[in-house]
Amino acid sequence: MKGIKNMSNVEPSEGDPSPGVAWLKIDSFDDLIKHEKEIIDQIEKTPNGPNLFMIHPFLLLAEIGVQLSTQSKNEILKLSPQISGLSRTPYDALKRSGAQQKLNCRLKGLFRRREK
Amino acid sequence: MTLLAGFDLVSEFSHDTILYLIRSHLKVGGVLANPPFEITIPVSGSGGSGSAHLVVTGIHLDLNADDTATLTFDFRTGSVQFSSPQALSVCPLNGTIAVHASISLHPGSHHTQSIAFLITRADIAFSTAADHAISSSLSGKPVTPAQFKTLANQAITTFAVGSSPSSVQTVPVTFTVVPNEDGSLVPSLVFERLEVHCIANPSRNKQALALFGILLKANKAHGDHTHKTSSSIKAANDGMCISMSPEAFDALVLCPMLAKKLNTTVAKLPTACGSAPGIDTNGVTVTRIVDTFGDGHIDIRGTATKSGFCYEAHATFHGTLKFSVSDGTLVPHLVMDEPDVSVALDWYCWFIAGVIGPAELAIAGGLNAVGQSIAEGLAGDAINQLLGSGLPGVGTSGLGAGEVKTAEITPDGLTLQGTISSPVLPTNYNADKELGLSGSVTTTNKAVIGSGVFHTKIWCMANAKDYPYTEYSQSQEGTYSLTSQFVQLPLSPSFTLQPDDGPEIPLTGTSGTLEIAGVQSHYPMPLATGGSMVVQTVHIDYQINGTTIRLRNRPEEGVYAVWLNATATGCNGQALLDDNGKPLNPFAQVQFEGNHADIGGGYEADVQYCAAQMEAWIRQKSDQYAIWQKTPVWVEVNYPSPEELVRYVSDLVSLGLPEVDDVLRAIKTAHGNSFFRAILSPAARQPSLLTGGTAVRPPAAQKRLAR
Repeated sequence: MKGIKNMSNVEPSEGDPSPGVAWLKIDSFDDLIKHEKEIIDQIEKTPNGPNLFMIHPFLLLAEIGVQLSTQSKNEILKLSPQISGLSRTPYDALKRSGAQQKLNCRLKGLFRRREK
Repeated sequence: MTLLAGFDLVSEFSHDTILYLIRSHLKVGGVLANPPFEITIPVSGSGGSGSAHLVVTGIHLDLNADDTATLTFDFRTGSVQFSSPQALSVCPLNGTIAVHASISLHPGSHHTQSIAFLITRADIAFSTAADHAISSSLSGKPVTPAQFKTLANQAITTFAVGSSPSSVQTVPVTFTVVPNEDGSLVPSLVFERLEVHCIANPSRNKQALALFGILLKANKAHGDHTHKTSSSIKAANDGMCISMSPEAFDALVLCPMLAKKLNTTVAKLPTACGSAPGIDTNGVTVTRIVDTFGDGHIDIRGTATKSGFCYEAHATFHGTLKFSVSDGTLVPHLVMDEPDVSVALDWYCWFIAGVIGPAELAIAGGLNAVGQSIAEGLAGDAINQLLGSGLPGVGTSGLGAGEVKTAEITPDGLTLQGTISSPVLPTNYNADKELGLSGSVTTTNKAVIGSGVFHTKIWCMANAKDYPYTEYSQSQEGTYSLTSQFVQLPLSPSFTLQPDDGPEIPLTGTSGTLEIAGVQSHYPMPLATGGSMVVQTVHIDYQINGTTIRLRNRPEEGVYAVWLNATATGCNGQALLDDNGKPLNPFAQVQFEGNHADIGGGYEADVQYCAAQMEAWIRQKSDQYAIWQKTPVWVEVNYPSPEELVRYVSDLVSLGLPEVDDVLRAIKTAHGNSFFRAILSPAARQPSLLTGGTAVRPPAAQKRLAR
C-alpha cells in the first residue's frame, strides 16, 4: 500500500482513496505497460470504469486493486505531466451515480508510452 | 356667453387633452393614474382589518363647474383579505372609485405658475354583482356588509388623499405671470394675471379646462370667467384653442408690428396705437390707423395726408384683413380699397394743371405701401412667432406639439383653433394577466476542498507551464418569489421542479428534499480535459413560505440546472388563467454550481492571448480566401453571457480546424463554470445561435421555447 499512500504527493489536497484489494503490484512504468491489457480489462468491467479513469486515473487504479509504487507513479507523471488538476469530487459523484451516462469512454491504453 | 369673458387671452384645453395630462403626471396614492394598474392597500378600522387588492382597468374624467375634476376609476378582480376579527376573504369585487381633486394654479419659481391638482376625497362604489359577493362572503361573519363598505371607503380615501393635508401635484404646463406690469406675447408669453377654471358640460367631449389671462395692466380688474359658459373648441377630442381680444391684438400684435415696420416706437405712432399727430412713411403722413374686428375679418381704417407746393391732400383709407392657415402658419391677407382723397389747393394752383392726379396717385401708392407693411408685418410677427413655438400662448413641455388648423375672427376677438398630438403615454397598455418567478441563486458557503498545480501547454504557447489551482465546494441557495400582474390576490402557489428532459415533480408540503434522477451535472475537474460530466440523481432541499421558495443544493453534486415551475390559485381558490383561458405557468431555470475551480498563474491571460492570435489568423485567412463566414471573436473570461459564449463556441466549431479540440478544451477550462452555465442555458438550445442546426432541444425546452 506504500505506492498508494504516495499519491498525496501528486494531489496533496485530495486525501486518501479507498483502495480495493490489491491484486497487482506495479513497480515501474514498464511493469504497468506489461500488464496494461489485463488492467484495461478490469477497468472495463468496472461500472463507468473508463469514465472514472478519465476523471482520476490514480483513484481508479487503486479502486480496482492496482497498487502503483512511487517509482511507477513518478514515471507516469514524468511521461504525462499533464495529468494534473485532479479532484475526487466528480470521481465520487460518478461512483455514487447509478444513472446511465451520456458520455461513455473506451480505453485503448492507459498512459502515454516512452518515446523511442 | 362671451368668447373671452372680459379677459385678454383665453387658452382652452379639451377634456381628452387634460385626461392625457392626468394620465401622464397625476399620481393617486403614489400610483400614476394611468390604468391598467393594480393597488394593494391596508384596510383598518372598527369592524376589522386586513388588506385590499384591486386591479384598475379604466379611467374617466369629469371637469366640474366648481373647478374640480372627478376621476372615476373602474376596477375588477378585487379582493379584500381580513386578518381580524377573523381570517376571511371577500371576493370577487368590481365597481368604481371616484377621486375628487380641486384644480388651481400653483406658484413656482421665477413668476411661473403651473396647473395643479389637489386630491380631496375618494369614494368607492361596488357593482350589483360585487354587492352580492359581499353579502355572500360576509354571511354569518363578524363583519357586516355595511361595516365592510365603510371600511372600504375609509381605506380608499386614506389611500387616495394620503396624509392630511395632501400635497398639491402639478403637471408640466406652466405660465409666467408678473402682476402689475404689462404682459407680452413675444419673445415670451407673460401674463399680468391668470386664472384656471373648468368649463363644465353634461357631455364630456364638450368639457374643457380654460386659462383666463390678463395681459395688459390697464385691464387688471377686468374679466369674469363665469361669463364664458361653453368651450370654443371645435376639434373632436384633441382640440385646443386660443382666443385673443381685439384690444390685446392691437396692443400686443398690431401696434408693435407697425412701430417696427415704420422704424419708430408705439408711442410715436398716431391714434389708435400712439399719441403722435402722424407719422411720415412712403411719401404720406399717416395720421390715424385703427382696426375693428368684424365677422370673418378685421377692418383697418385710417387717415393720411400729403402736402405739396400748393396743395394739401387728405385721404381716408380702408383695408380688409383676413387670415388663413397653411401648414400651421397663419397667413394674413390684406386688401386695401382705393382711398378717398380730397385735395385742398391754394388758389394759384388752379393754374397748374395736372397737380391733382399726381397727388392722388402718391397718396394711394403710399397707403398701399402702408397696407403692404401691415400684411408683411403680421405674417412675420407676433402671432406667428407664437405659432413657431408650437402651441400659441402656453408653455407646454407636458403636452405634445400643437398645430393651428384655423383662424376665426369675430367681433369678440381672434380665435386660433388647433389640435394637440399628444405623445404615447409613458406606460404600457399591456393589461395581460401575468405570473412570474423572480429570484436568483447565491452562494451561502464556499470552502476550499483541493488545490494543486495544473501543468499544461496552451495550444499556441511554445512550452507547457504550471498553473496553480484551487478547487471549491459551494453551498448555494436559490430564492424565487412568485410575482403577479392583474390577477386576483392572494396567490396560493404550487411549485414543481423538472430536469431538462424529464417530468415535473411537485413540491409537497412547505419543506422537504426532492430527488431528481437523471440530471446531467458538470465538474470543472479534471482540468486537463476541461472538466467532467456525470448523470446522477441530485438532491434539492426546498422550503416554501407564502409565495417564496428557497432551494438548496448539495455541493458534491456539482454544476447542474433544473427548471422551477409554478402555478397558482387566486382568492376564490380557482386556478389563475390568462385571457385565453390557459393556466398561468411561469418558470425559471435554476443553476447550481456546487463545484468550482480557480486557475491562477495567468492561465486565463494565456488562453486569451492564444485566442487573439487565432482570431487574427482567421481574419487574415478569411480576407484572403473567404474560407470562413464567421470569425470567432474571443469572449473575455469575466462572467460572459451564455449567449456570447455559446455563439463563440459555435463559431469556433464551425471552423472545422484540427486545432479546435485543443482550443475548446482550453477555453472550457478558462471559463470554468461560465462554460457550464452557457451549455446549461436555454441559449444553447436556440438554433439561431448554433450553426448548422446541430442543437438538439430536449422536449421540455422545446415546450418552453414554444410558449
